[in-house]
Amino acid sequence: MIFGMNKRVVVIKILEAIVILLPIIYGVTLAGWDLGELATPVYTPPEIGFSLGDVTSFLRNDNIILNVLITNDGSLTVDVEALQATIVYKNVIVGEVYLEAPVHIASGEETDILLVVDHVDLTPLLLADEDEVLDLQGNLSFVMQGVQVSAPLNMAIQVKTLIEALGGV
Amino acid sequence: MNLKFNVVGVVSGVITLGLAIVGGPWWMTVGGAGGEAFHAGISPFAFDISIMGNPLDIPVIYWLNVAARIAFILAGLEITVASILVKKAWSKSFISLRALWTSLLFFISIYIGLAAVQRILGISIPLHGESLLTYTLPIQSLSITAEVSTQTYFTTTFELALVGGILAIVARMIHGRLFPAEITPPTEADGTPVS
Repeated sequence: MIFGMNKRVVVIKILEAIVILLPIIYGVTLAGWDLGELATPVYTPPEIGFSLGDVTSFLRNDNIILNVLITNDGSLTVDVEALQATIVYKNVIVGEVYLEAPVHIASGEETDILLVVDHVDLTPLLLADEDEVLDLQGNLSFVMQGVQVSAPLNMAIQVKTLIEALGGV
Repeated sequence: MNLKFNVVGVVSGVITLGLAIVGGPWWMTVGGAGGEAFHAGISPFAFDISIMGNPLDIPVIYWLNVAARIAFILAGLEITVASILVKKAWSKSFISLRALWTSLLFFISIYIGLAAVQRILGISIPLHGESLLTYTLPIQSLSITAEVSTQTYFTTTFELALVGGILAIVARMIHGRLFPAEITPPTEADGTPVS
């Protein structure tokens, strides 16, 4: 008797333990006894990236609309839900910008995003040169693979782009 | 009562065996609609984690899962056979409490794992329930905030494993009382001199 058990029971228990440990020993051997490699998580994160193309503008229902060409360079579909931003020229607000409608951009797809410019005050631009740039600063909300993301947005728009919408006024 | 076999033990054995063969997650976490953002289905026999549509794999876990499956299959068979051959002197030794210990160890492991995730990544995932995970990624001078609704829960398979483990304790307790072992003459294999 060993530990109050029949010798045969003990032998069976030992054999059982060996059978249970065999796959672990096999796995460790397969990895060349590199325990670090075996315990290291393997994960390839999805690619996330956008590129902005040309920004054009036009007038619709007395509103200036900015048309931003955007390409989804990542591997995930993105649903742009909202944008709240202001157009600033030399620390003076020229207008407020919001997304006209939610936009769905599949991976690798190129889409136009229409931004409505509201509460426009072009007075600060009267003395501005056409090639000067305005800052569009704000916050962008989008959904990517079920995750709600809120990111700051900062892009440059040329003064002439805004002027074009008004027919070069 | 004139029982021919240990019914509780047989039920425990079948549950233990079934858990290993059928499988299924013991603990689930789902992030985003339908687990779109991430999902994890974890048990001693399976480790299925996907984050943003891509799988996360830890090679050693696969081999541990295989070992656990074998361990449960053997335990299930042993409990069932020992509960049927109740008169054998060795039968009580084979009523294994593996399902119970594994269930408890699994619960503790998940608890420790979630505490580690909170400490390392700063993401607080509840052990059981719903929550809104918020994670802020500092990228250069910008801070991007990601939010995802999460649901975590222990599955009925886990509850079944606990039931199987508790039944194994009961089976072991009643085994000696209801089924006294046959007294067999000692053999040389027992290490006792045969008279």
